[in-house]
Amino acid sequence: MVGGKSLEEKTELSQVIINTACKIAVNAHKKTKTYQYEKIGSSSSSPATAVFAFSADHWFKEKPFGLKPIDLAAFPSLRSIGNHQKTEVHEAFIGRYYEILMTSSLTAKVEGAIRKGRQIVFTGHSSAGPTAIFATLHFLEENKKTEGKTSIRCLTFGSPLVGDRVLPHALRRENWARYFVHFVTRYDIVPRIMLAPVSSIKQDEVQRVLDYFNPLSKNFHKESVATSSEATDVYTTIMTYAASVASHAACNLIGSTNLVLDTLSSFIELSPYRPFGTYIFCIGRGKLVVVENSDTVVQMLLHLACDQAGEVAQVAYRSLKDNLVYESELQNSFKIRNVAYLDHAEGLPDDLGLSTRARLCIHAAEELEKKKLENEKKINKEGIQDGLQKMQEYRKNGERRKVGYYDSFKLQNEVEEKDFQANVTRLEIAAIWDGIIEMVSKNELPDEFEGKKEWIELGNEFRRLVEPLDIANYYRRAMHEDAGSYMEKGRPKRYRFTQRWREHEERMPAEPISESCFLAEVEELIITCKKRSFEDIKDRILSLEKQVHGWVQAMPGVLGKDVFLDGSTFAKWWNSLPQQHKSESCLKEKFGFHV
Amino acid sequence: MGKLPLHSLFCRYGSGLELANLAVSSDLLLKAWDAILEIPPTPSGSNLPVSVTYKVSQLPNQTTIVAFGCSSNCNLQHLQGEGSDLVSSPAGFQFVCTKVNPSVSIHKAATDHFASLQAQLSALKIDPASPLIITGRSLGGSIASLFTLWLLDRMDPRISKRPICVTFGSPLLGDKAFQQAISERATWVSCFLHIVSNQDLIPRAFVSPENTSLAAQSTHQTSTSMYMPFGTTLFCSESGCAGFEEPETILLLMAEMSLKSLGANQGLQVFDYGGVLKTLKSKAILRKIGKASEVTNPNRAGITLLLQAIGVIETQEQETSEANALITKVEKKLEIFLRRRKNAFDPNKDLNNRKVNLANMEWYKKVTTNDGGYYDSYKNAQFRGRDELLNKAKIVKDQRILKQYWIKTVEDIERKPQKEGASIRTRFKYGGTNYRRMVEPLDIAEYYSQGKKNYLKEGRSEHYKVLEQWLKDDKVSEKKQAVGMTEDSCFWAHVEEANISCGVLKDGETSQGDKEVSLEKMVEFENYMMNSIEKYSVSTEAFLEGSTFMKWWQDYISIRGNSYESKLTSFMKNKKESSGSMVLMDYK
Repeated sequence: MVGGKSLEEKTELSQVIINTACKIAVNAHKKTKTYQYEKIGSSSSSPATAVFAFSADHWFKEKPFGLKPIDLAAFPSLRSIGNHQKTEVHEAFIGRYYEILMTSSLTAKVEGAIRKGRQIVFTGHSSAGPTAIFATLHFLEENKKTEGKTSIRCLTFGSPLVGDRVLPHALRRENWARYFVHFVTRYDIVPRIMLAPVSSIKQDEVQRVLDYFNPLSKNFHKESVATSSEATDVYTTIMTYAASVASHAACNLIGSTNLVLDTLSSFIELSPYRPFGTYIFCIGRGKLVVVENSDTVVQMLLHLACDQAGEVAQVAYRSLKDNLVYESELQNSFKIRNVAYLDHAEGLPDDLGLSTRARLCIHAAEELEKKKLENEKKINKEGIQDGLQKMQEYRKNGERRKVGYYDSFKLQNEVEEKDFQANVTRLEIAAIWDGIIEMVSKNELPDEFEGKKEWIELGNEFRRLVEPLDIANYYRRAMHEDAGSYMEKGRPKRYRFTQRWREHEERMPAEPISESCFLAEVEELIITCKKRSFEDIKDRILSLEKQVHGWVQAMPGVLGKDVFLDGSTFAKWWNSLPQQHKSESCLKEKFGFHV
Repeated sequence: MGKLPLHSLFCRYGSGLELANLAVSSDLLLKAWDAILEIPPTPSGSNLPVSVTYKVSQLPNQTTIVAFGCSSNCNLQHLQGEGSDLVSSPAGFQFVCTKVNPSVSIHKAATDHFASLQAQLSALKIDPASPLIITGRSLGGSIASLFTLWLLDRMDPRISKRPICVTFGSPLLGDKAFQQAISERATWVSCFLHIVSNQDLIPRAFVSPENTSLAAQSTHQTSTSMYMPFGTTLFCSESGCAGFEEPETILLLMAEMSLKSLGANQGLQVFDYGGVLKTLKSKAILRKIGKASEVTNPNRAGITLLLQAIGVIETQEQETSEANALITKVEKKLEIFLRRRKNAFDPNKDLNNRKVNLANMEWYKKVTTNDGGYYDSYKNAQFRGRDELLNKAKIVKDQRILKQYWIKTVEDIERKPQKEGASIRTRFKYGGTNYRRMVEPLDIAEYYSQGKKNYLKEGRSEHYKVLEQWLKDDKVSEKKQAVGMTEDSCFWAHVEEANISCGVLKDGETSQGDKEVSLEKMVEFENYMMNSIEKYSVSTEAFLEGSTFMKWWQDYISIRGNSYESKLTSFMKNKKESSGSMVLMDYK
């Protein structure tokens, strides 16, 4: 055994649970009832567990096949935060899950088990895998919303891929990826199907062969299908597409600088689907290989199932058969107990039967992951902290002098060197943050990065403290006259990203105007007030006042006293508003307004 | 032995292998080849002239294919017999030339064939938004490349989808300048994929012993009369395929193929790329178990893999000295190539730190503006005490860094071809203008404090002139500028020249003729000054007591006498009356 951990330790699931899940998943797959339920009593290693196994989804026949952006209201975690990118998922798969949710007793049953303090395991074999995955995602989101402590797990056996590259990214950030364990036998075609583009799967020939997996079809598990020449063609087609995907991914892993790659890729239909979670490959003779890195899994999906002996027909036959052997494969491996862990391993076992090229690609994936970790380590965090310290002092100094740092900075008074120093500090920290944001946009940092408390908090502090100075600078230099308002044209990514991080962390709705940039709205209102009547923009003013009032109440100290100081930009403008309005304003006390 | 150390397998050159596998595992290449096969054959015989024909077809997914074929008598003998003449900057292809490569040479036969088809090709209706594959084999591939270049020059990159040009077994097309001019345009170079079988002699037709032996000595400048491959070349053999883009490596490998007399007897037949591509496609899902042998040098192992794939070294040949020498050569070339690319200058890098430098200068300017003036404080720092000197010393470093950065940036951007450079110029224009107005006055101060004359003609650094030109070229009226900056960064050079002229006038020994010239210059300067004042484009510091400008003014008035009246005298008087208030000047 390599890696020191047993399969049970790795998956945090007992042998009994894994075996039972597999048994009822395979069983449920053939049934018409939407799901099956089984309770496993508590043992020394795990609490009582409720296993839900889903029946087959006849997705091979259904339309549409394509990807669809996920509904963020139901799955708020399934996105890339800073980049503001939703996960896209297989439309028919998620449609199937919604259908079960709506028409069956699943929700009540699961909630009942949760109330009883049970661990929940969703499972699915082959085309039922996606349903189990979405069920797990759904209840993980629910759990997060209600801050529940339920342990929710997903076990799939030969499941197809369900979503694009944002999915593995988001799940690792949420620290959910480890809850998903996917068993895949060496040649099983089903986990590889979605690596072929949708247009190729729709072809009749492919559909006829895939009926082999459809319990309702007359071809279900029919030997003549598995031995047909069509089966060979389907295997070849799907694997060739998988080869394209793997080669393209490898170019990016190695860091190809050849410019023709982009042009070439735009002419080739490449599947956007990507694996996530922990993959356990059953490579034969009871041996298991555990892989967590999504990029490595892509390479393994291709290279493990390649034809070694030059007998395509036989491999094609196995590619269908291998979807039916999970129960026996598992039992065998529990006997043999030979498990290899590829991630963070010092070496690649040489009994996997991989070509030198495959080893190169797998290693490139590992190197990239290491590079990301190094990138994070190399960020000049002290530089940011020192800069923020200086900014704090600058702000406090302003409060002592009864001039808010926003206004002091905007004036850039020549005798006050501090304003100049603050500007230099602002630029220095901005340089570091721009570097970070650039890496986030290009996916050059670990997936977990945007979910790490230390970065969210540092980003938050930075945004609240420094953004006002960016706004001051913008309006001081009259950049709005050329480019347009700060919020629309001038707001740097370093603030938009860090605000989104916080909103995600605290599960709040996106605020168009946040506490760090409301002064930009004030500046715009000052300009607008000169052109339009008070009544015209009353609603905008009221809503701003309400927001500011809310922040003062909810987050003491975030808006400094300096904001309300006499003579500040905010106070001067507010004081210019009609008397009547001021006397009714929720901010009148803040500004010390007396009739 | 259980495991192989992972790091021993990491190779930076592996992407050539994966790129090629991506290309052959997809349908793209076969579709292109099939389109070439569909071109109706033309009558051919050894006595008929070689002809190039084309066919436009549509794929179901909206993709257009323009395929070029050539008559079967276009064989190796013909190509070599007709001559490998290069024509310098042929008519219709001057657009390929750039500042850095002002003259490019192209295969004469190819441009002649293109010229004969040009009228028909120009009339083709091509939807810029849908995918376009341009392809051709042998000489037809050369025409495909020229047609692609011709299209790229006419395309609007904002609405057009980038086409791809796939050639099969085409002879080399142009010289080194041609290759480099194309490489200067990132978009252009990314469109060319040349498929070359190790069994096909045509692509090697113009690889002469001279240019390969020159290419072997990596530092040698290859003479311009010789051919150089451009774009990406994808070599393929029965055992695999690999992509290369470093031109000298490609030449080297072609020469190696000739040396091994690969494909010796096939120069007369049309090489069947379709067959090779089908074999390679089926191999994409075949697994060759690698020998888990000890690998000491990962990069060498990677290159060995590449060279084995394209059939220039045998799988078992790894150990021979001949193979080792080839691996070493290729490794050296690729390493230089990658290092050069990695170290390429990028003006976007470190932009924030340059802003810090500029902020430091801005602060210096602020401190000095009301205390002797930015220009004069810097110029006379040594006479103004320790503090001034220290202040100056602090910004000298910022000044130097900024100057280095902008000289490099201007050089880099100016070197870019017209179209590619234009958008970048616009992006750097404002920053460049701010920099110029901030730093050039100090250069002028330095220049005149050394007793030199005539800054504008003799002392001004080229990059300032270019930056000024960028601003002038921009049609949009320039509104944005830093508060309190003199618009003309050479303002102080004009003042200094006026001062020098003043000295000439005061000098008793000056001839009458010289005096008149100097007086004329004075009037000219007065006009310049008034013009600038009326545009509110002079900073207040010029009028500070004791400034170089005020010194000139006092000298000038004393030469002219109190009775002299001009627009400037009245402005200066009024200015005094408004009790030194500079409000007028402090435009926003």
